[in-house]
Amino acid sequence: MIQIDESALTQLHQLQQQLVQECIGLRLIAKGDPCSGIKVDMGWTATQQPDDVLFRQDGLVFLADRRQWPLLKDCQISLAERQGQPGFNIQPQPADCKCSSGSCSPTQATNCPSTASVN
Amino acid sequence: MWNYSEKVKDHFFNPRNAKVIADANAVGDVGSISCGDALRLMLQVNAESEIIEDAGFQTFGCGSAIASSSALTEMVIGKTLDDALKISNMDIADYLDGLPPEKMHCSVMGQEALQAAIANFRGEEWHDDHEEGALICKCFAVDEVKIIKAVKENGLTSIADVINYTKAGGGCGACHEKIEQALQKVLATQPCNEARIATTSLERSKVAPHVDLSKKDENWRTVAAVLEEMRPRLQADGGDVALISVTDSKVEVALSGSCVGCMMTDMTLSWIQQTLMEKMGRYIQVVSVTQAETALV
Amino acid sequence: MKAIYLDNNATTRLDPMVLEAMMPFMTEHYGNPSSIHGFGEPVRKGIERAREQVAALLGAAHDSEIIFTSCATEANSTAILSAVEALPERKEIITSVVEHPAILEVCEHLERRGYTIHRLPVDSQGRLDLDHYQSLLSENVALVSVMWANNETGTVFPVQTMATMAKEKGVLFHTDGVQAVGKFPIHLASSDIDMLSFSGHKIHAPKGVGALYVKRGSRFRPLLRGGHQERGRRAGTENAAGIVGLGMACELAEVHMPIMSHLAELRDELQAGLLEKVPCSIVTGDIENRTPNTLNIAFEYIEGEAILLMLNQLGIAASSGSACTSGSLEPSHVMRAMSIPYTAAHGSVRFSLSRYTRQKEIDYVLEKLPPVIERLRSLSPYWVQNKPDLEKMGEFAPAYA
Repeated sequence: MIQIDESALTQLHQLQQQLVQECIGLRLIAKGDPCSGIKVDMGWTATQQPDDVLFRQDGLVFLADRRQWPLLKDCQISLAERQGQPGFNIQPQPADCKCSSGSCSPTQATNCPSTASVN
Repeated sequence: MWNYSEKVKDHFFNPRNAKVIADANAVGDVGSISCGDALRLMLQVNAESEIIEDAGFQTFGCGSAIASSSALTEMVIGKTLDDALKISNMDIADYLDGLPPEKMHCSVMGQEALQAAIANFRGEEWHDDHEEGALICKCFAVDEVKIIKAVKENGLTSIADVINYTKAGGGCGACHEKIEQALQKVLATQPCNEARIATTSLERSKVAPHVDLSKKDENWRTVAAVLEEMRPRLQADGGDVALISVTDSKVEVALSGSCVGCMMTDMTLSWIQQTLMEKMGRYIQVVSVTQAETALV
Repeated sequence: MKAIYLDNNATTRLDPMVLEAMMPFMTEHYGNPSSIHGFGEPVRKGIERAREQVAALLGAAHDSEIIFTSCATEANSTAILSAVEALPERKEIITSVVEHPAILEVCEHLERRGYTIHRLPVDSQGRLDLDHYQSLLSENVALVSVMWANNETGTVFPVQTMATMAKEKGVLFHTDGVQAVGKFPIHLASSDIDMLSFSGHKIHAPKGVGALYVKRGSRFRPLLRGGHQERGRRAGTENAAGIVGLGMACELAEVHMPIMSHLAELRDELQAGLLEKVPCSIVTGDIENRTPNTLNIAFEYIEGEAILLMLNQLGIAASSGSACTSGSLEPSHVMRAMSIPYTAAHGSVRFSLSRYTRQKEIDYVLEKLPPVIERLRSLSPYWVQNKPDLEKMGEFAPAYA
């Protein structure tokens, strides 16, 4: 279950109301590779892709590629500030990997700007 | 200051045979002023018996260098050339009751000068293969140039490989970070070629087919370009991705190296897919195929 | 003649008055300064007094601008990492090629993380090109870190001018002041320098303590996080005795500042004497602009470590920029940056004086060093009958400063 801070949830609902375009929900994308580090991006999306998983929670809809869903489904979303601009911090759960390189880099929290624009 | 044995100090403060032999018939020059170490060894060899009757040295270098040169002259006087050739740098270091690891190269210089002098006497060619570049492993005196050479020539991808091929990193381990950096330097710049892709011996035999991009369509080129941008990151960690095939709806790639054992492969594939989709503006599926399957393509 | 110590740029002896000031904090005043009870109070007071003394020497506007650290290396790391964390959109750093490894290694580390590092070159006398520096300043630069004085040659950089130039572009300016503090008067309050590091053991305070000056109003992110010591800017129970020692050493440095001109005279005497008595010797660095106590002189055709070993035998302590002492096969990066020819770079020796250096010590060095050089040259293949064997060196043509 995705854990969303109170304040982040309020902000997300506010943004949802400000959307001018038709929108399905919030897309979460894990970028990067496990060895050098994963960062999670979040943005409003109008399209659902064939490989997507749709997840409803707290009055919001989240979408993610089904191959990334295991990593993203327990992430934490909180409010954060970046260069004076409000945004969101998404902290995925630590990865568990046993490949020949020996270790996965700890996943990094990302700051996503808080906007009502849709991709 | 270095931990010099009493013998080293003795040979430094009271060097033996620090002299020029005007009519030496065997002269060996090694090192250079740019290295900070240079030794000129002069021998007086009896032409019939091949016994070294006198030896002299001139050295530009530190305490160990001067001591090693002095010790060497003492060791060779009275020996035949063949016996002298058996002297190794370890023998010189032992004669001095040991040298600090960082100074072992001074004894190597002594051995090389001896070989050069004898080659000179016999009218043979001798090549000075002196060290250069930043010293990475102090325990075994291995410099960066040597490590990079070994990595390139043998397609090494891990610290264990480097230890096995060059000994660097096999001692105290303090240089492991620097070895990693040297590895990354090489791996980040090499294009996708046959020697580079696989790491395990099993995969070494299977390679991605070489592709002539000019014969491929726009789709392929777009996909190939996106992959090329992502490869350095994977390569920096010992992995890699090769493009196998592209159709309108599907892209096949082959992951290799450390990416193969990674349980998070799906994550990486998904990242690749979403990046491609963003660039191409439409849905396209990215799947991985094993190297074995590619051999059948 | 007892041992002569001429390696003060490496470290200095403890001033007896500094030791005296420290003793109570190693014996009866052992409380934790963060404690509420009475044991903490005298320690707290001692630390704050030290802060005042340090601020006074640096000419800082506020005592609170001083953060105590364990050493200058920690202060350097703190300054650089703080700047990049506080200005995350800026991905460039400007530094110089002759910095101490404490700066260079951190920059190299950041380079591997994607930062662009501009390393200002120096000319053959170790001077910077300010026009080139100006051209690199932009809003993409997070920080400039340039040392105030070089540890090997003593060359002093125009950091106050450089700080003002940086300020115009909103770039933070840090300087590694380890070799500058205590050698000449400085007044940070009236300069545009945002951060300065220095260490205790270069000014007759103990090893294991240093400080970072951070101008009030500069954005700052701590390196060590944990407790609230140093107003939350540097966690860790304070090295009270060390800090008190540092404070006293700073006060003494201020008091003894006038002695520096006498030191410069002793140094100049040593320099003139050696240049006269030893052929083929070159002074390296910016001779017109260097700290009063440093002399870096290169003796051609012989090697530095061998010189030091012989000097050590005679009871003289100095240091060298040769390969053997730098731990690699190349001479020190400072020598290389100045393009000192290899004939000289490997034979460079650094003499660094202090207020404890006496005339008769200089006289002794002038007496004993020339024969040492002569002896080593007699062993060298590049020196033949009192002059260099140019033929032996082949195409190598040495250039004199």
